[in-house]
Amino acid sequence: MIFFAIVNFQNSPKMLGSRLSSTITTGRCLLAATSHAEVTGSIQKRQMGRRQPKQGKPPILPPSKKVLYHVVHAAWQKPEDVEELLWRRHAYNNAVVSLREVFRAEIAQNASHGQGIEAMKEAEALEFDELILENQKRNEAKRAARESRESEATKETKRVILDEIHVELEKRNLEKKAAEEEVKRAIERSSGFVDRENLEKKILEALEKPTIYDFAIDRAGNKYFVPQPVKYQEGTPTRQKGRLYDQTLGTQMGMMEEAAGGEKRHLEQ
Amino acid sequence: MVFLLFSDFAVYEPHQVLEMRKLVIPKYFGRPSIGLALFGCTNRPFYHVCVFPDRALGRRYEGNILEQVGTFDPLPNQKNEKLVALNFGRLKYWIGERNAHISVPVLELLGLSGLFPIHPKSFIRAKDNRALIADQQLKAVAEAADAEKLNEEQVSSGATSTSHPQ
Repeated sequence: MIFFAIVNFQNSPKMLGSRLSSTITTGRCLLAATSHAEVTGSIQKRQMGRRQPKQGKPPILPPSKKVLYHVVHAAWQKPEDVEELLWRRHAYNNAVVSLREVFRAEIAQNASHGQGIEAMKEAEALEFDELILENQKRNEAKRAARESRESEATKETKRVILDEIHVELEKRNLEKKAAEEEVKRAIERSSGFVDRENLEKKILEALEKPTIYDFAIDRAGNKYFVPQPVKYQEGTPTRQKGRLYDQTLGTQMGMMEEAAGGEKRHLEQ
Repeated sequence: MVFLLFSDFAVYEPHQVLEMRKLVIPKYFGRPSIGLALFGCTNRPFYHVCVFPDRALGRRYEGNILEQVGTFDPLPNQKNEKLVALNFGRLKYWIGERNAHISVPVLELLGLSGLFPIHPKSFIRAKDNRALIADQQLKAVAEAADAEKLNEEQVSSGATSTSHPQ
């Protein structure tokens, strides 16, 4: 039978739909045959790897005794409760049956009186439109409020930004002025600078009036020149300077004025 | 599939039907049913009152639910209330027009809400609860009496002991 179905399928693929619909059993067989073929093919390809079996009872096995012989015991009830439930249930079921009728009649009446589902739908559509209109109104009002609010905010922001720009510009102006002043002062100072033209003259001046920085100074501002500066070096300067510094400062040289005096004296020499 | 089953039922004789393994319950088959669908999560039950296409299809999954007609919160709130919401209009439609089967818990809820008469089980439950409360009250009274007696005995024994401290 399976073979027959497959042959049919191969010979007339257009007929497959009609065959499937007309004889479901044949169609099932065909499906089963194809699925089986696929399964076997895949197993052969995969060399029959060990797989974890699915959880639960294999469907071919019978139900276990625990399941098969399980008896559901109804919970025990008091006899007077059973008795009461009996007549109450009787009345209740009757009431429910009639209530069903009542509800059906009510729905039918509503439908006939223009309160059925169609009417409700129409009413709801109307309400929906109204709600949308109201929502639009609200949106408009909110938009107007927002625009005014935003324009005010924009103005405020603009003012703040302009203030900041003003402050920044003033600061820059001051900085520019300060820089100009500095440049002017530098230019003024540059009149006494050494350059190519007055180089010889400056050297001569320096030689005539040497400034000596080779001194020690104490907190009082006294300067101690050791050895005493000379305008023109005579002879060979001593190599061993240790002895020169082997003295107690402030005892021989005196105070700053004296040092200045000493310096003056040296210059005069 | 469904139609096939119908045709099978139609073809076989009644006694054969009885012998057959029942795939569906004829009482509920194809009849909408109103029941509670358990939503919520661990330790937090919450029920939707739902209309199901068939009782056998199960009631936990949203896929099977035709319509939700209410909710039921079984955990009492701060005011000791269990909140229930019911859509009476739709319930009337499903009960009256579509002849839906209603599960017992929903019937009890409907009875308490006033759409239906009070369900018999509600009466029994109320009776049991009343008995329980009366029992508890009796117990409380007995315990109070016992405590008082003990107290009196202690007082009397204490008085004797104070009279003879040594």
